Amino acid sequence: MKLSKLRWSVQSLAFVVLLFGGTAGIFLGFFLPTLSCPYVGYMRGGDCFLLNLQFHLALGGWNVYAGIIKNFLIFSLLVVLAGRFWCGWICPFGFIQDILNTLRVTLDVKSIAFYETVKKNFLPIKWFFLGLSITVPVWIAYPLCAPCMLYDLSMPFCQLCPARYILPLAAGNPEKVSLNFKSAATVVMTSLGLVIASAALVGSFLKKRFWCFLCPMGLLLSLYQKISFMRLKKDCAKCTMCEACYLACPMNIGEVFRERKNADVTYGDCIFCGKCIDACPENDALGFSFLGKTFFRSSADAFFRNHYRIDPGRPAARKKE
Amino acid sequence: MIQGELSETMHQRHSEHLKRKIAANASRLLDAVRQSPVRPKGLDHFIDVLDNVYVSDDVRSHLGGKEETPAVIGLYCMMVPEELIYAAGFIPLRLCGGSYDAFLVGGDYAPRDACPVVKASLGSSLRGVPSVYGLCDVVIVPTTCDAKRKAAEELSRFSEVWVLEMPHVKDSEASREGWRCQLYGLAKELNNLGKRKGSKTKINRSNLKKAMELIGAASYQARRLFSLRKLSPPALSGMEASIALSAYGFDRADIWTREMKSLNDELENRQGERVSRCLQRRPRLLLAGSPSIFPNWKVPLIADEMGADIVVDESCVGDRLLYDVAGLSEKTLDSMIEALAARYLAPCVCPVFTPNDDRLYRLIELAGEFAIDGVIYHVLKGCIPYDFELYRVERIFRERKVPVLRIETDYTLEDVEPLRTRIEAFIEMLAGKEKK
Repeated sequence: MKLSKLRWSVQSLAFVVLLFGGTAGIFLGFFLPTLSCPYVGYMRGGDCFLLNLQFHLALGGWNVYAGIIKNFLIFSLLVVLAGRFWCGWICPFGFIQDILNTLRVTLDVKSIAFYETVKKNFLPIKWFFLGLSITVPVWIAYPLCAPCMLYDLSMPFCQLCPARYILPLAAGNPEKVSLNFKSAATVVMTSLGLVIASAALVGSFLKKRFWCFLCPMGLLLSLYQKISFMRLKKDCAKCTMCEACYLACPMNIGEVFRERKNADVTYGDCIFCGKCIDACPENDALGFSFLGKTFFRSSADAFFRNHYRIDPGRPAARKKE
Repeated sequence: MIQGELSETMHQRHSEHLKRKIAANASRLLDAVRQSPVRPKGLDHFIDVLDNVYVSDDVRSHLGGKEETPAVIGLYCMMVPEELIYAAGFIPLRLCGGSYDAFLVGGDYAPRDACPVVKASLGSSLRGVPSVYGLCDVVIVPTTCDAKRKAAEELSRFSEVWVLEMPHVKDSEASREGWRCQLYGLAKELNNLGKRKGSKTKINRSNLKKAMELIGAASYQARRLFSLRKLSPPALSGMEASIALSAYGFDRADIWTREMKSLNDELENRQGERVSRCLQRRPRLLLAGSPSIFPNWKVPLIADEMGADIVVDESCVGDRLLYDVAGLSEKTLDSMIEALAARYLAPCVCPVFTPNDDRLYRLIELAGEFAIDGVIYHVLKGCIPYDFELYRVERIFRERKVPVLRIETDYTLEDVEPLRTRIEAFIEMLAGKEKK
């Protein structure tokens, strides 16, 4: 099956399960390494790990923290197994971004230029979001040497996260897209969140996977990159450095085409969407590997068939040679 | 007056003279291929194309009738995206010259140390012989090496020249951006030219996509031919492959692709029948360095006569011309132009780029894939970039124990005999090595 078709199917399935699985009694757990937003309501099929992390950190108490550690271990196991495969194939917000990108391509709108140098500037923002979602809840639970934080800030990142507004909307829950007038803090946070959400929508229409450059969940997942079982492999001898993979990459990873020695070209930003494999015109130059077993390798015939509508023809006759 | 110092009649007489000489030289080569008993039938079309260009001097006959033929644009080097030209409704022809007689004419108008490619192109443009040189409405020259860049200025005496500024460092955002801007500019100029010519075609999403598919199909067939030459013995001789690839420069891409497909099919079927071209294994050579442009086939001819097969080259008129292909992953107008910019810059291993380690990796890969026994490193006199890289190429092949023979020559026929002696000795050495 064509890699891109398979990915669309998996993504749509994951989208339906994570947003509506609850109605069929599916609930995958509180530790999912993907932006599966609990704000969607009771019909959701699983919970984002970051929300639970923030929520429980703010409660405080050793029993609660032991629960966090348990969840964290399961989370880690899932990430070690599949790495950022979660981002590229499962994440419902990633799916929405991919749909927006398809819309852009259909409308023939120019994508915004996004250089590797620009990409680096987004790193502090990710760390800021991640730091926010850990320090503020802990601060609320244990207000040591500072004035009490408002309990309304107990889930600071969730109130800024675009998925918290857009996913409920996608699931038919428009009342979540509103300002929360409970207190001054919530008003400020939700209005910031709405701004970020609309920026993320416009951004991901103009740039493939725009939010993924800012997502703290993605950052958390990328920390497991060295030990994760999912890898992207390259046969450096076969590479002509044509930059086709770089142009296709939604995360603008240039290191893959530049690599000349190592077979392992897995980078923290890689979401395993497989666009590079699909775009590579050389046989076996790029491929996924799971625990050393390679699958979905690039092939020249597949390249010409998918992108240039050329039927290689007579495969049986040509194999005989 | 374009013709410079000559009067109209003298110019015409000189042109006639040059035309006869070029035709005689080219037909000698083409006849040699025609008379080969093992020549695949699919090759005939490509021989005819070159015959139309150099011998009967009538390109229009295979480009289509005079009325229906759209305007023709001349290209130098391989960095000008043909897709844009086809999308704008024009036909690109490749003008880098390989004729000895034109080289003599051009020699008077270029510095002594300029390379023969530039001299031959200048000579042909000056005399308008072969007539394809006079046929082009516009000539596009990318700023590759010094000689080509300055020749662009000289060429502007004979026709409208557009210079395409090309970065010499590939992997930087600034050069990528600059090169993209150049292509956008080229697209705009092509649209303007179309308007001047009274055509309504403008480059847009659908016709650019169609043009990319056209060149993609040509690329696919060129790659098929490429892999057929990996076989041992190769499915066709280096000269035959070179005819097919040279013809691309003067043919319409759709016709060329169709003919190439039938040639490839024929060659594949022939493999099935196990009809071998020759009885004993001949040494397999990689022709590296400066391009051997038809009809300057000095080195390939000698190698063939002395009993070796040139199975692959890395030249911009040969195996590199159509091998690379644009990654057409997103079909918006801008991403297609982006993909074209990448395709014509990033994988290109012309030695004008610095750093150019890509070329070394490519050569290593080719030598392995094609089971190369030896490398002939062809340097055209005055081709500084290729000559400069000789040391690095020699080093990588020394590490891999593949012998390299450096040959420096131009288009003159005077040094054929000494070259023959050297190449013969080299090939004998390779054959002897193999027996051991």
